[in-house]
Amino acid sequence: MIEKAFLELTRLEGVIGGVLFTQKGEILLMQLPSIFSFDIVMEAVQGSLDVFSVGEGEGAISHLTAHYEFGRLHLKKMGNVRALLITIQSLECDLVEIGFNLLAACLNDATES
Amino acid sequence: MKLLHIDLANDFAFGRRLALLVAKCSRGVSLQRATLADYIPSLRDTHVGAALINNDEYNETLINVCRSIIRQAPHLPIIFSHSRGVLGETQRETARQHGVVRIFPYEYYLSETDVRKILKEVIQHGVRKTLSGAALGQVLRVLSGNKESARLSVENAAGDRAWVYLAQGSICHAQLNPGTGGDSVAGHDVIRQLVSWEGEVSSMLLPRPLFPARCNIDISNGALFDLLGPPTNERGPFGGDSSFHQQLSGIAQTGTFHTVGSDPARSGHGASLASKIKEVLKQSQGPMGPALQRELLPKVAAIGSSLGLGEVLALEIQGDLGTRFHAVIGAIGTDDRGSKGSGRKKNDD
Repeated sequence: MIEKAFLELTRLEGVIGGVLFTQKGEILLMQLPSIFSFDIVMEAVQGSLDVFSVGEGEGAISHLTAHYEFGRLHLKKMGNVRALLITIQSLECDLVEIGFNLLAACLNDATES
Repeated sequence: MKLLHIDLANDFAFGRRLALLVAKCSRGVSLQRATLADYIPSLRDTHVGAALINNDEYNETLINVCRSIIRQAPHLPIIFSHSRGVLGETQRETARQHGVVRIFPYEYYLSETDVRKILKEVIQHGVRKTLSGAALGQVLRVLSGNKESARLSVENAAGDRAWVYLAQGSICHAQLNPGTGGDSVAGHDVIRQLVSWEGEVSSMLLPRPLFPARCNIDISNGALFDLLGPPTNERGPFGGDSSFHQQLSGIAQTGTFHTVGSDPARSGHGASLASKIKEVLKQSQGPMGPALQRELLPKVAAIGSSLGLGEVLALEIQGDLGTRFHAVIGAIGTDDRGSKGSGRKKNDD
């Protein structure tokens, strides 16, 4: 179910790809074009962990959206799991939020069962 | 580039000679008096650029072979070589109806020069085969089933042309170039457009090496990426010095196809981007404090740099308690023609 929710999120029109990883940086799922080599992905994952570590314990960051020149990056914390999503500029952020919520719901179900 | 040589003649000596020529000129496969089961594997080999059938007459056996080839590999052009004077005009027309796209007559015997000429035609100019729009989908499926990647050039009666790149079962790139004054088709609809084309579509399987990037894109999602310009360079569509960032910029502009030779429209891109970002940031409760921004910005910039996303323009964060703050950086802030980004105001985190 988690994999399905993740894949559906990454298959939204306008989503370039995404990574699901643990708070230790271990990759759980990844769906990205092959131009993103594994090294690049690991670098991005480590960078994401650095972002989440900012202000930890004091109103920590649960969701970050970064608008870049050539696209958008979404970082989301869902319990012990982190998500990184790369999208185009014009993709509605609400859609991404919905996708993340569904994914979070699947993760919750998996944790409880 | 290989030729699949199917020899139907009874003259084994001649057939063997031709087989040697095909092997020498193209490292092709030659089959003498073969059954369907014998040449199907070769029909699906993407390195095979054409089927060369040699026979002294255009007979029932040859017609059956042509039909088999069309069924198994509708994209594969069929070349029929024969001694001069064998085929009259009516038979030539019949041969064309059976999928023969090139009839190559020769004097007495097929020489090495003749085989090289055939090969050169197939490689350089392509040998066009007319397909209906409905068959195009089948062609794409046949090609996408192959292990090797393929590049297909398709053209409809109106002169619109598209390049379709396939890799390991997926369409990874398509680019449409309107030929007769029509507008570029938006990226998401290109493949549907190709498959739905009415009338005759001519196609050409291009044997050149493909570009290095492959994207597994579900055709039903219609998420086609316009990576870069026309595939005119032997080293692939990105050219010899294409950078990772160039590739990313194309991906980030999904949905925008541009005509061959034109540059991606960048004018006005910054302004629309600024307004889009500002629209999103309106949902935040206020600007991010400078301390937080100072701590976050380098980290976010580093991620963007490693992913090739370019400069950071704006940030938006949501805390565990649901609070949302934003920071506007650089070009977007100055585009406001006012103060540079609200994130620089003194404020609490």
